[in-house]
Amino acid sequence: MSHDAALESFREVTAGMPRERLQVLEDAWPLAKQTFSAEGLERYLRAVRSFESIGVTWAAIVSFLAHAPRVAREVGEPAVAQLVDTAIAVYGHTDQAAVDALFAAAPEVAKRVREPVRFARVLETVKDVAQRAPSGLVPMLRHVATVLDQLSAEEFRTWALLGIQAQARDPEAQRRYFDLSVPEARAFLSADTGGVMFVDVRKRLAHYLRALWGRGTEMRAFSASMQQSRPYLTALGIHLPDAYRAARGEAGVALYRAATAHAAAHLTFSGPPQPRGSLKPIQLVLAGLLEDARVELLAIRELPGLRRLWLRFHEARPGGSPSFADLAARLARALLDPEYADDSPWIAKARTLFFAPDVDLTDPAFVRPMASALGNDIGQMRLQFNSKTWVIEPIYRDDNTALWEPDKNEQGLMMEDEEVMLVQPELVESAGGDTLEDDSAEEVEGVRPVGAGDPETEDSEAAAGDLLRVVQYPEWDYLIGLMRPQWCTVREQRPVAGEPREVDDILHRHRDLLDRIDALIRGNELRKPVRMKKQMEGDRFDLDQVINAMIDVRSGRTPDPRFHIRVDRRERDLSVLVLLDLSESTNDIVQACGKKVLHLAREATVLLASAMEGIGDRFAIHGFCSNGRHEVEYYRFKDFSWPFDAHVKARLAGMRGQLSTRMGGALRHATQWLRQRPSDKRLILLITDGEPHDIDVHDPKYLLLDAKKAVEEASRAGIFTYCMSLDPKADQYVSRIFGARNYTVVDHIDRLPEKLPGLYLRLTR
Amino acid sequence: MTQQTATAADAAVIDQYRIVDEPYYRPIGNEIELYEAAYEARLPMMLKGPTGCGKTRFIEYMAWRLKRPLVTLACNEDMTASDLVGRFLLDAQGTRWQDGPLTLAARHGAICYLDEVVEARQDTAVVIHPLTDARRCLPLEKKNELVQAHPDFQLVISYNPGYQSILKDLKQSTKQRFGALDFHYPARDLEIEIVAHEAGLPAETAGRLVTIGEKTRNLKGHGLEEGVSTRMLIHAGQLVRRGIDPVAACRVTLTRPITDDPDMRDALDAVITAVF
Repeated sequence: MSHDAALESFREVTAGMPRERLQVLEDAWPLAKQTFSAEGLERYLRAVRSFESIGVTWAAIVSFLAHAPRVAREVGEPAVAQLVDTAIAVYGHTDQAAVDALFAAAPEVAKRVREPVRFARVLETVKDVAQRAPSGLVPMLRHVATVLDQLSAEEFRTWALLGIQAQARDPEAQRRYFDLSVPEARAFLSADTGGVMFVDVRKRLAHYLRALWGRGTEMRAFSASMQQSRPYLTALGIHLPDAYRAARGEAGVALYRAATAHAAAHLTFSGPPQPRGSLKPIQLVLAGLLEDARVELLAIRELPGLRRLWLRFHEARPGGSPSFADLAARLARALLDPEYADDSPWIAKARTLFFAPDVDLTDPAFVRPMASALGNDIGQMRLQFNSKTWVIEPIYRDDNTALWEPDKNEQGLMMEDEEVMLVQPELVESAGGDTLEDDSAEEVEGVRPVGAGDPETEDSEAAAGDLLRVVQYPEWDYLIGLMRPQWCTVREQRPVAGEPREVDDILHRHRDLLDRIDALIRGNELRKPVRMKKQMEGDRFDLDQVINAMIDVRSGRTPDPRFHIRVDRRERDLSVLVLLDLSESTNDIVQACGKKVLHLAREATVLLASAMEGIGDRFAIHGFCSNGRHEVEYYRFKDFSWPFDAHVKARLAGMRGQLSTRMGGALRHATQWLRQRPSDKRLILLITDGEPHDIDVHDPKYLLLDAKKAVEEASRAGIFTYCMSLDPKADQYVSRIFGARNYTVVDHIDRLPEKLPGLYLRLTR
Repeated sequence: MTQQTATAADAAVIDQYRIVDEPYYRPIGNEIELYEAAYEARLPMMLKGPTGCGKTRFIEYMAWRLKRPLVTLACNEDMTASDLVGRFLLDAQGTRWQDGPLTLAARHGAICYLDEVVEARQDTAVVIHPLTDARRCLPLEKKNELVQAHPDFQLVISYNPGYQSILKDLKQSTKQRFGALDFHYPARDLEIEIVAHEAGLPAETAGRLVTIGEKTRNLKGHGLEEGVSTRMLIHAGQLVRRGIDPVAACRVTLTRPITDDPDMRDALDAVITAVF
């Protein structure tokens, strides 16, 4: 670093600092000066100021001053910015001690991971732990060096997530886990594990399930334990263990796949739950085993490769200890593997019965009597069976509880299980810090004069009240086949401003994605040069035109002087209005990532906005919700002429989800706004998470058809409407509203932020 | 240079567009009957449907069946009206008019097939208008000539409504000039028959390939823009017939071309191993 930056040259940053603090800065300065660029130095100082402003103690800041340069030396200057971000997030969720520990641990972490990407990964994990297991954070940071000695950054994340999931809702247990005082936590470290996590394979499994079986069945993770280690099926979907720790790499993925395929075979071929009747536990187990074989063989008829997939997990061999568990595992293999040889007469009998020519696999009726017969044999062989400790083998098979009507004794247990699942999202919501942060941010913002620098012209009139404009629109009633005049009232309101930093955070967090989008824009044809033929001026001749001109000259006519080719940027005259559904349902938490739908939609919108800025398209961001036909609330977060600046960001940050979704009125209002745009192409991009509904309408078809009508009206005005639906079951109705190819259903909402800009580019290519 | 010599030379040119051998085409419904009636009325036709479902093969087959030459032109966005209609060229004697494919077809009574017509710029697409209504003529503005279409001439375009950008669509005034035939991927048994014939495979192997095709079409709109087409299945079959392991053949011809998303690729590979 050749610059000669004295601390004095940053006087504006350090202004107002007490003398003793300046002295500390002075002490830290020589090291910092050697390490950072001029820009980095300023950020370094500004970080100190922002720590001060949120109340981090001076002791912790001193620790930052000392450690940050060491971090920068190991993993580069940008890592310090990430560290500052993380510290602020950590401080939001925990306390001083955690921030202290973070700064102390940072250089050790940097030294071990050595690469900026991995360092960022560790910080990400720290944030997750701070948010979801705050009591474990300090112990974790104390041990982070030891742990990172044994695990890669990726494995470290897996380890931390396992701790968070396994010990959810028990702060004391979390603390013990991260303090390495429980065997599970250490087991992961000592064994060279690194099992496969459900979160990592969920997306592929979903594709797999949909491709092979045409099913969009939901898949959920549960945290595997001794009591419940096998997958299970409920009305909510397929439940798979959160991790298969024993299986590594490809084998783990195959195991998840085998479990998914087996569950799907049940869903496809097993009928509704059967009464248990007089079947004894052992007979129930055998009936389950036969049913497993039946559905698997049916699936194999269509997809022969599944046999290979399943068989690799059947490890039973003849000649083991003569126990029921062993025999059952051998039978399971014998029914699936035609090449398997077994010396047990019981298995030979079962095979003969099962593969008898009169057995029709498609009819499950044969299972019950065959299971009773085989069960009686086991009884006569005097083999032990304990239904309490029974675990189904092989590992990929579900526990078969879905085959039977619930037993009265077990009902209590099941209910409890369901309850845990349904309650959890609420817990996350109330425990998650961001809702609280939102509220306080708004309060602070409310005090400040919001209008300053607002390019919005209505501001002067808006000062009187929050209502900017009231417009009435007709609404289509399909029952009478007429438009009801002046039926729906759209009330345009001023959005509440939030903290613009939240939006900057989003941009910051997705820097990689933004770079990708940037590359996409650059690589896309959007800005590709276009050859403009037949120009008056240009750098080359347009041969066609030159020939025409020569023909004209020779035939004695006046030639056309436009015979040049000019290379030009493509004309792109596009106005886009992004319309966000802000109804109550957008407050739902998305399981996969623990964020609200609304926040994901906002993230996606922010990324889209920066993409549109990059391209130079003019765009507006509006949102709506409704409370009956007299109150369709409509917010303009950004208008076409406004720059995408801090003011807009504040408004986006203040976005909230409430009330219902009356799409028609909002679409008509958006159409009005777009109508005034002089652009060639005009597009409404609606982002919604459900079908239209409102409190004063009980006929689901009414609002749906009204929305369809509104889309048609827009299209007549030359405005194209495209819908991005976050409802996985949307296929049935969105195509009715928007037309067969004017919508996309996003299956994995958590991927929305990365999806939306790409979709937009494709759409407007 | 006289008009006669040019025409005589062109007449020889048109013969190269005749289809001599019968192309393989397996009818799916009554499309042959419908098309024949449309041709008899010289109605311009539009063939709609996803890529690789047999639109081009169908028109080749029909041209063979009706014994008309077939002039095919793949449209692209750099195409100008001159590329369709024709232009003056320079040679030693001076300038010489060269008929474009559309003019050639109109003069000599061929079927002119414009493939993926939406790709052409809208102003270019407009030159076909006078040929597609009662006038049936093509004004050659530069040459100051009005070509009356030969009685056997017919214009056919293909159009894939699914995949292109929403901002690129045919003008209503263009769309409404055409009759349209909808094409889809054939039903299972037919598709097996087609793949088996085209790839030269036994029906059993072809059946497995078609199963893969059907499974991937489940993912349309859920991560894939379009499922695997019949054409792709035939490509896979052709590799299998050459002794390539079916799983590897499907990876090369199906999953790798259709997606770049690693998760999707992985899921599709698993589908293939489940079928083979």
